Amino acid sequence: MKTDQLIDSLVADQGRRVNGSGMTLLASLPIALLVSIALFAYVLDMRDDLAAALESWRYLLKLLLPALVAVAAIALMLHLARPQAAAAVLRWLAWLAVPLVLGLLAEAVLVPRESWGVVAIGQNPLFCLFFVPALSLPPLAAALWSLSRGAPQSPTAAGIVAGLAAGGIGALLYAAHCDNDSPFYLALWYLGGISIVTLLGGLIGHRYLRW
Amino acid sequence: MRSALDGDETAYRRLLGDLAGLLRGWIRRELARQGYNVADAEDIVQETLIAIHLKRGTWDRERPFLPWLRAISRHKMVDNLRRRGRRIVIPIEEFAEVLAAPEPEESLPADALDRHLAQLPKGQEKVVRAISVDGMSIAETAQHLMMKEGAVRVALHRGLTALARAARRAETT
Repeated sequence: MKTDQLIDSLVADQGRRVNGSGMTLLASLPIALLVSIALFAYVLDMRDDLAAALESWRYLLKLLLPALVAVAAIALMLHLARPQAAAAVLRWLAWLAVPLVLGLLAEAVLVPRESWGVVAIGQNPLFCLFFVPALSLPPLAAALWSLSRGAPQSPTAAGIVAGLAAGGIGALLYAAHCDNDSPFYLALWYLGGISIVTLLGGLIGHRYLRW
Repeated sequence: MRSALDGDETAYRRLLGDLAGLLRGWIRRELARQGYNVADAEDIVQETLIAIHLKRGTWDRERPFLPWLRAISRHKMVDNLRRRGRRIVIPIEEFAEVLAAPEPEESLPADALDRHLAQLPKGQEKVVRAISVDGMSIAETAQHLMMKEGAVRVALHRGLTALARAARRAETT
């Protein structure tokens, strides 16, 4: 095929509207959230002491951190969807560790050493490790779908950030159910769950976000 | 590119034609410099044009066009060289010279796309072939293949996307 012939076919295909990653995410993420919330409503329930919990700094941290992760990762993801963007911006994510470390330090001071193990393991850590990723799957699909409309320089990095965003959303939802509020628990099991989704996002991105 | 995104076919055709010339010069020089076969240049030009087309939505029209073009072209170049077996770093500065040296002549035939075209589902292959090789319009293709115009458009778009995918997976000769 000659290049001019190829150009003919590209020109013929040009009429359609092209949505970038941002528009696609705007359309698909709300749907994904509804699916996740429906899943939550079907298998889990809200914690009974929600009102009281909202007054404890531990619970607020447990909401704040996933929310920050999700917002930062979504912003980064849309940035990385452009071909000019370098994956080096990923290092800004390290700042997310600051509120977590502060929370861990506060907990270490406030909780006697003998009880560390108890608060860190909580009652149902494996449940958490399962449901954070499960609730993250619909947003992960939406995020990866949006990125497939983009042109990330590094598909792996883009997938990782998509996984992180989805993991943050899943963790935020799960936090409405779970009543282990210790930052120790948060660091172990929530972060563990988010890591699983992040890893998954990276693997899928590496494979399917090439262009 | 702005008018092209707004649906101006003539502008889009001219833009892609100009870009093909620019890319050809740059890609040939890059291949030669790194000791690859310059005969592959046209295949890479075509693959890059498809990428520019399919990913045109990632260009923010408020921003300059050239850095975006450079990023897309570099990505396809790196991708191609990697497939050809070596990891290569392309200095971005090289790309600037391109503007001074477009190469309008398509001296060597490109056949990779033809090979990939043969792997497409039959319907898509026919549509892409009719519009590119036979130079038909959407309407003519629809009549010729007895399809609805909308179906032709969909098949064309899927076909082009599939071509890009096939090129990515291809074993290079």
